[in-house]
Formats: sequence, structure tokens, C-alpha cells
Amino acid sequence: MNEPAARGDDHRPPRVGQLLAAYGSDVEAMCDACVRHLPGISGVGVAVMTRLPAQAIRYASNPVSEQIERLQVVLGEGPCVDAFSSGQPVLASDLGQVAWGRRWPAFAPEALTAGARALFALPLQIGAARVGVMDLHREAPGWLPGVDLADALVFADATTQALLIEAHARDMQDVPDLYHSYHAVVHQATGMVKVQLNVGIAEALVRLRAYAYAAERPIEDVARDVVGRRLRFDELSD
Amino acid sequence: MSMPREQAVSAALVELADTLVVDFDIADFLHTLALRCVELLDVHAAGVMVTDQRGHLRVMASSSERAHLVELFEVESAAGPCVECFATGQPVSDTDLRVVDTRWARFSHRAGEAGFAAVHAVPMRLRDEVIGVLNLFSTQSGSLTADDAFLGRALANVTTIGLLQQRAIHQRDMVTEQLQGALNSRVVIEQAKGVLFERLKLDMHDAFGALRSYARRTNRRLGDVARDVIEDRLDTAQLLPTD
Repeated sequence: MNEPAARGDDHRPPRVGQLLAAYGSDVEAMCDACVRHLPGISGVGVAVMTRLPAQAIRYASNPVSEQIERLQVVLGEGPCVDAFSSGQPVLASDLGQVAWGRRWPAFAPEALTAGARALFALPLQIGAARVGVMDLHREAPGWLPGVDLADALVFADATTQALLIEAHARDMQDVPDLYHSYHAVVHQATGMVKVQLNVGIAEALVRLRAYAYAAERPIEDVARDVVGRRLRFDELSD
Repeated sequence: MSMPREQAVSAALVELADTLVVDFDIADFLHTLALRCVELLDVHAAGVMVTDQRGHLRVMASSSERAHLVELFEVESAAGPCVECFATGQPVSDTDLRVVDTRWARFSHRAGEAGFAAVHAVPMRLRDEVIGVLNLFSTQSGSLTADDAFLGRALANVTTIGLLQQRAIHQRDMVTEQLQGALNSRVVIEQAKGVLFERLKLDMHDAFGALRSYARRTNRRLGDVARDVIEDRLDTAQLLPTD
């Protein structure tokens, strides 16, 4: 939003394509880069889940993050759980506030004891393809400035892609930006491919992208062919 | 249908202010805003773009879900009057798209091809923060009448205030959470449109209509119904119009 960049004029917002080019599907390296990039953030944790309450700690950048992730698994409540079930970020700028204590009566005091005062949980998702949640914490209270939130969301987008690659297409490293798209036609084509191949939506997305990657075409072009009924994934001969 | 204009305007304002309901659905709400704009103002298409918090605008709702219109809004949100409106917080109009504005040449061409002659971008402001843009397309060149410009701003304002439902937590964070969730719902809806297009052979506009009327019929959120379609928890045949 319309806020001055907190880190001076030389601040360049990261782009999903650049992050993927730099780290590929290396989730650990991506998270560590995120912590380095956001000076106000003390640690990052990633939980991988496909449905509640099953979740697995995929990565924690430090012991506090590890504890935050563990607590949510054990207690079954917390920002990560809420972010996953609602599909919305949960931005808890001060866990010491009554409102958060009421929302997570078991988790909030434990998280404070562990050393986290502010927690920001970002869902890792592309529409109905939900892969997990990224938790960023801070030792001091305070909301995340707009520019930091923007960058954190880009890291979350890149991490989502990395986890999708990891789960469904390990051979797809160095995915350039053109396979990451916000266009409606790509989402529509994903829904069609899901039906054609009778697979889950996350896998449909990866298959669509893998096809574009192999054909060296922008994913929007391939998606337009699918929606225009010039290309069917159940008739591919491979 | 043939309500006098004054009555229709009041009805729309009341409808858009009425967001303190259980299971409030932003996707449906912003679609309603787009529909009311086309009904009440002398414009032929309307779209709602909101910030993705990463520095870009994303298409959240459109008065028609016809593919070419949704795509046109996407082209505009890359470079068009709405981008300038979002950056400045001020209304921005291009009153004659035939005279190509170099700031958004690609958009001018595409809008012209689609039959539009003018576009008006109205900011959706929450105090000093711009959270999105209401876009109004007309097939005639020229400015909006003073009445329409005023009513357009009023509809945008009422809608924006309506988004602030809960006041307990930090308001900025609240709106951020909701908009992010709504944008993802929009993606879920697009994916579900694809499923219905493939499975029921409905075009994209009718697929959206089927999702929306089913959601209304069953009192559920559009995004939740769309998710059920994608995760095969809903028999898609039930979405077909019954009459």
C-alpha cells in the first residue's frame, strides 16, 4: 500500500521468479533468505499440510520457530492452523494482547514463553491448491510494515511454488518467472486439466506448468490453448 | 426491475452497507457492486480491482464473467488508468480511448477492440489508504455526468467502508487479512469455473452464474462452494440451472 519503503530508496522488492531462480525448490535456503531479507523478523517456520489436523514441520530457521511450529502441532491451535483453515493471513502483532489470548488460550501464553511476541502466518496456496503455512515471528510486538508484508508475501508465493515442485515435479529446478502466473486463464485451465486427468488441483497445476516448461512456452499461452479447446491433457502422448 | 432510479440507488446503498452478516462473502459482495454500477450508472461494464499487497492490482470482480472482459481488466491492471488511480488515490478517466494514450497503449487498443470508448477509474479508499479501484467502462466517449461521477464515488465508498466489518483488531491488518483471503477465493472460483467448463460444458460466464446461484440458494460462500467443486465434494450436476 502507499507507505514509504522502510529500507531506503535502494530497496528492491524481490520477485517470485528471481527467488525460484536463486533457490529452486530448496525450501530451507528460501526461508533463510527470507529471514535475512526482513530485518524485523527473527525467524521463519514452514508447516506442510494438506488437511487439518495433519501437519508436518517442514523447516524452522531457529529454535524459537521450531517451538512455535511444535506447539501448534501439539495444541492444535494457533495462527498457522487458522491461516490454513481460513485461507487468509493471520497477523498477530502482539500475542500479549487479550484478543489473541482469547483466540488461542493454550497457544498464546506458550508462544510468549518460547520468545515470540508477534506472529504472522501466511497461507501457502494457489486457490484451492493449499500446501501449507509460513509462520514469521518477531521477539518484539508490532505490526509488519506494508513493505515488509509485501516482501514476505512474495517469499510465501515462491515457497508455495518450491513446495509444489518438491511434491510433484522434483526435476523442475530453475523455474523461470514465466511459469508463475496470476492470470485467470491459467487458473481456469488448471481446473480443466484437473478434470481431464482426474487428479488433484495441485497436481493439475504442476502438470500444466511442466507442459509449458517442456514446450518452452509461456504458461498463459498453453492455458489459452486448453481453455480454447485446442489442447487436451488426456490426449497427450508421452 | 423497473424501480424508480432514486429508490434503486437507495436500495443499492443499503445493500452494499449491509455487511454485518454471518458468513459475509467478499467475492459475492464485490460482484454485487459491479452489477449495481452497470444498472445504476450510464456505463456498460464494471470491474473491481484490489491490491494484492505486493504492489499490484488483481481483478476481484467483474460485471460479466465473459472471458474477454476479465482479460481486459487484467490488461488494464498491468498498465491502465486504474494503476494511476491506485497510485494517486484520485479518480482517473480516459474519455476517448480512440486517441491512444502512450501510458497505456496496449490497454487502449484492447478496450477499443472490445467496443469500449471511455474508462473511468474510481479509487476505493479507506482513509489515507487505497485498497482498490472501481473501473467503469462505457461504449460512448466522454466524461461521466456529474450525477454519475458522484454516485460512482458513493458506491465505491460505501463498499470500502463495508469491508471493515470487525473493529476489534488492528483495522489495517484486518482488511489485509480479508483482502488476501478474498483474492485467493477469486483464484478458487476461476479454478472451479474451469472444472465446470470441462465437466458441464458451461461457458465461463454461465459457470460463474451457476456457482453464484448455488451459493445463494444454499446460503454459502461462493469461495466455499467453488472449493467443494474442485475437491469433488459437490456433485456438479446439482449446479445446473433447475428451470
